[in-house]
Amino acid sequence: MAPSEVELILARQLADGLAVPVLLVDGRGDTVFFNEPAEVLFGRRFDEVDALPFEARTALLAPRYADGSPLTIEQLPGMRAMRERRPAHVAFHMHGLDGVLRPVEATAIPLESARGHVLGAFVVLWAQEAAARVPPGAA
Amino acid sequence: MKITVWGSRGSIASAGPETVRYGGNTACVSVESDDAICILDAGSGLRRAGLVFTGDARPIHLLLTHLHMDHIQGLGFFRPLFESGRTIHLWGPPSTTQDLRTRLTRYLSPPLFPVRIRDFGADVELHDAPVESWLADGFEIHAAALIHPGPTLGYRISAGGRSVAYLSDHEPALGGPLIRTRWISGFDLAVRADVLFHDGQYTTDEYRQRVGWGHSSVEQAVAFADLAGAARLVLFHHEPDHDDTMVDDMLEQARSARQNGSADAAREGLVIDL
Ligand SMILES: [Zn+2]
Ligand SMILES: [Zn+2]
Repeated sequence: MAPSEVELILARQLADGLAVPVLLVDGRGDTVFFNEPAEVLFGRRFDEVDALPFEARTALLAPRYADGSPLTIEQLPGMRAMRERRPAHVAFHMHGLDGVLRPVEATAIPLESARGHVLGAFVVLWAQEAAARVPPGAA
Repeated sequence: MKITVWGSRGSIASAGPETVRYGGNTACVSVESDDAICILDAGSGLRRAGLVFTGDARPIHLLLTHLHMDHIQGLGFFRPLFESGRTIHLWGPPSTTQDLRTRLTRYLSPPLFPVRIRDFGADVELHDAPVESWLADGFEIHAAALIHPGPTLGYRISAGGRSVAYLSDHEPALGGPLIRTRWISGFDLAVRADVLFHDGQYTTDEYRQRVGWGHSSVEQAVAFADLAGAARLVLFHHEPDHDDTMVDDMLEQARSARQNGSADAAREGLVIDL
């Protein structure tokens, strides 16, 4: 597989050290990394997903609306952020490791290099239960 | 391809009896063919290169990795820039905020320097290094962004089936452990290069104190070279506080650690014929 752009390498390293779930997509919208906190939300370990072909991986990770229908590729937060070149916030549902379908929100930030190319997106995810764990007054 | 080291030091020139063997001048390496001259970085070593290349009719391509002072300080003292009627191509890292000319002019204008770029006798053509590889008078050049503070490039120059990679200021370890090649900064530039100039500024202990400063330990340079399968590693960007004996010791460490290639330490006057 082709080496990643340096900005994606640094974003991955940052995501790896964060306690919030983070997903990293490349310029074509492929999921190139998610961290351990995100593994809980996706119900998959990154290493098992990483080995899958693009289509299989994308289908497996597909977020869904509450009625179970999947979001289209264009509706995915990372794709929107890259297309519009601004942060995108999207709410959806996902099946977790525990099989429970839970509401999730995601904010995606486009990663634009100093050369002016959109290289991917840094997607931070919030599950409702995780948000509820934040101690009151800890703003 | 003839490779010559004109400056091997990092950060600041450090001339003195204790650095006389490896040299005190900052980053500058030339790569010549019969048809053209590529010069990697314009550190203080560029001055001597200019004395040799003055009057040489071959086109010159100056490739800047980034605009830290130790990589541009020699520019104003490069004689061919003052030869009228000559064209010199200057390539550097692109930025969306300010173009190369604007950023270079911060140094090449009063009060920091008496002469402006437009007053050089030669015709200086500035180019943003493109994302795709390009051809420059018979050399194929590939530039890629590296982990180092500010927009910074590494280069790979190929001709006649041979290639030299130049990653003078580079801290790949900041991107995570040097294990999975896909996640290693600069990796594609160095893959199976015949010669790899790589940042080897620090000892392992020094690196621990300077994580995030943009440079590598010898241990990391060796790991990077082995993973990339680069045949000959040339340690570069020597720490200004390291004397010749210290660099000798670091080179010895690199030689014993290398698993699939040789190691060397850049010294002024070193010539490699490829
Ligand atoms: Zn430097
Ligand atoms: Zn630097």
